[in-house]
Amino acid sequence: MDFVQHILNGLLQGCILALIGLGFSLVWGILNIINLAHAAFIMLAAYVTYFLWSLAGIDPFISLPLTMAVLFGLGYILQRYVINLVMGATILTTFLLTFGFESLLVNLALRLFSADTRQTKPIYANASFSIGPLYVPYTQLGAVVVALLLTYLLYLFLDHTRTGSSIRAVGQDRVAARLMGIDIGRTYALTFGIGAALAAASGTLLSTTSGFAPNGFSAFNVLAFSVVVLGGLGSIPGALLGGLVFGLVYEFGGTYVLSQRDVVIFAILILVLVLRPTGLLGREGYR
Amino acid sequence: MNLLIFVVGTGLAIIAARPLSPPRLRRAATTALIALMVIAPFITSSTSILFDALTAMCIAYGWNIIGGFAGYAAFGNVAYLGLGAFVAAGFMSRQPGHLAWPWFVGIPLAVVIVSLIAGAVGIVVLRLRGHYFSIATLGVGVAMPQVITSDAAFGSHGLFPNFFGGGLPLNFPLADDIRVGGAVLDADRFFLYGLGLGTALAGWTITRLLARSKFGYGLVAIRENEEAAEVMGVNTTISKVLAYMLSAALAALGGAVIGYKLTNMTTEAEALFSTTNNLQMIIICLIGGVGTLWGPWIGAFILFGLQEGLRVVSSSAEFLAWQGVIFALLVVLVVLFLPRGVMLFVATRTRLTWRVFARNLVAHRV
Repeated sequence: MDFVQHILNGLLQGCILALIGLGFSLVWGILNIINLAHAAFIMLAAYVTYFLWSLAGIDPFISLPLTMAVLFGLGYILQRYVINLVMGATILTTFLLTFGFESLLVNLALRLFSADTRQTKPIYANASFSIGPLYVPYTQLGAVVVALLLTYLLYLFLDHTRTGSSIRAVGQDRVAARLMGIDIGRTYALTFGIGAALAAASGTLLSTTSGFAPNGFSAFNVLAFSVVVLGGLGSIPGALLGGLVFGLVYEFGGTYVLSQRDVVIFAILILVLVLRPTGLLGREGYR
Repeated sequence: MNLLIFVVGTGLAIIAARPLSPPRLRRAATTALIALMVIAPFITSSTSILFDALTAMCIAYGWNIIGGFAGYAAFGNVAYLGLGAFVAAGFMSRQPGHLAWPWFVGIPLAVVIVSLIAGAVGIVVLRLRGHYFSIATLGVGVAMPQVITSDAAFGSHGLFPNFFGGGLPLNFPLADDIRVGGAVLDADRFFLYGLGLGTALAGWTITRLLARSKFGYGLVAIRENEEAAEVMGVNTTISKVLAYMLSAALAALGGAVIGYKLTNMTTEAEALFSTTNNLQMIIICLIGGVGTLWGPWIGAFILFGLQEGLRVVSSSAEFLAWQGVIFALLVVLVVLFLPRGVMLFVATRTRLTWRVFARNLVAHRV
């Protein structure tokens, strides 16, 4: 039964990883930016949630839209007024730039919030219900519901709205999209903002399921990348699948193989990149 | 005094780097610069920050080979920096179960071992390009500290029991003071500084030889257009792996010497594998000029000169706390406004005006 419990834990965890991968995948697929500040966005959102809860007593699941809106704003402004200025330069430029943002945000957080481990703990934090011999914590279940809901909403938005279509158009062909009258700079900013908002959602969820500190997030960049690479770039179901697979890997790798989970994840990443660079469900990414 | 050394050193390096000045002047400036660094410990009371600058420079020279010459943006060299320190400590430690070899055996051996490991990693990750390569190397940086502390390989029942301490503290032996006649030369101020200077000169010499060699031109060709380089007869795979190994070797060399000074590896592991170290080598190259001989030297002296200057004007503990923030801000600003670094002004006839800083943005905005 232990085994089934591990599978369940892995899938629950995997939904959050899928959400992390989703925002990362969107920014990468449309803007061709590897957003290394993604982990920092997750971290910031965790702190926003934590402070809203500890100072104002707002439940993390209620403050979720607010946190997402804050991070959307930050992402929009960053892309619109900074990253857009160097979008035409080599990929190394945006890579380094977001790397700079990442360490800027992490170091600022270390200075302002200290390196103490914190956790958002609403009253139901440690409660769980059981199905037979299996335990499901309420926060984990809530996280799964939110993650799946947001994934579905993103799909609806990209596929069934005018703005969503313009985002996909810019991702496919920037020049043609501009000829069709799409404001490229604004679309980029919007996409980056949505990516940040999705990161924010996962940050909120993570802050309720485990303790966090400013410098504990950097592994999420490699993780998000691995999720996207495994699932395939530019594919929403791919991100979901990649997330679930890595959730299981995280759970089982940590339990049975090596206590060093990141090593396992990194090994899988390399294997996928070398053997099947297009991922399980996707087209080949930008070079 | 240290600040003065940094300022004069930067000036001499700029003269030596300037292709427009006469060759004899450039040679004289190079000689003067090296002489200045050799006599530095006798004219300043503490060489600590000079040591930091020189070892960081060596590591930056390493990054410059793969990131600058070959154009493969590696983000995980910090792994080899830390690994170099740990392997060297494993050989040199005088604790029971260790070999207690002297530094001139332990450190070179560590460098060789680390570059072989980097070669094995490189064969795999160098099949990737662009984003994929960068993230894969970033993964190496994340995974390496975990591998080193893993019980499976280095724990008490592992493959190499206790080589990296296996839960016990791992220490470099304390460096001895040198006695010349009756005078005692302090180990930190003279001996370790000498090692630091040695690493910087090693990085500089290797880059100098590389920049004028067929191998170096091959790397630049790979940076500009890999397919074309292949067609022109450059063996791109071998060149890339060799460049990656060289880069890791210099990182390991700098790391081992830094570790020798820090002494206790167990408590300093986090500092060695830190993002600050990872960022530092890249920011040094960026400030100076990526893919140039004098870029890392100028970049390191400017960066650490700034650091020393700030320390002089503000209280040092306060500044140290904000160091990470300042570094990150520097990366953002340099990437945005001066991607070619100071070399833009040194190597070309560009004059220092506000317009120069905006040029990058005007050229590349959406």
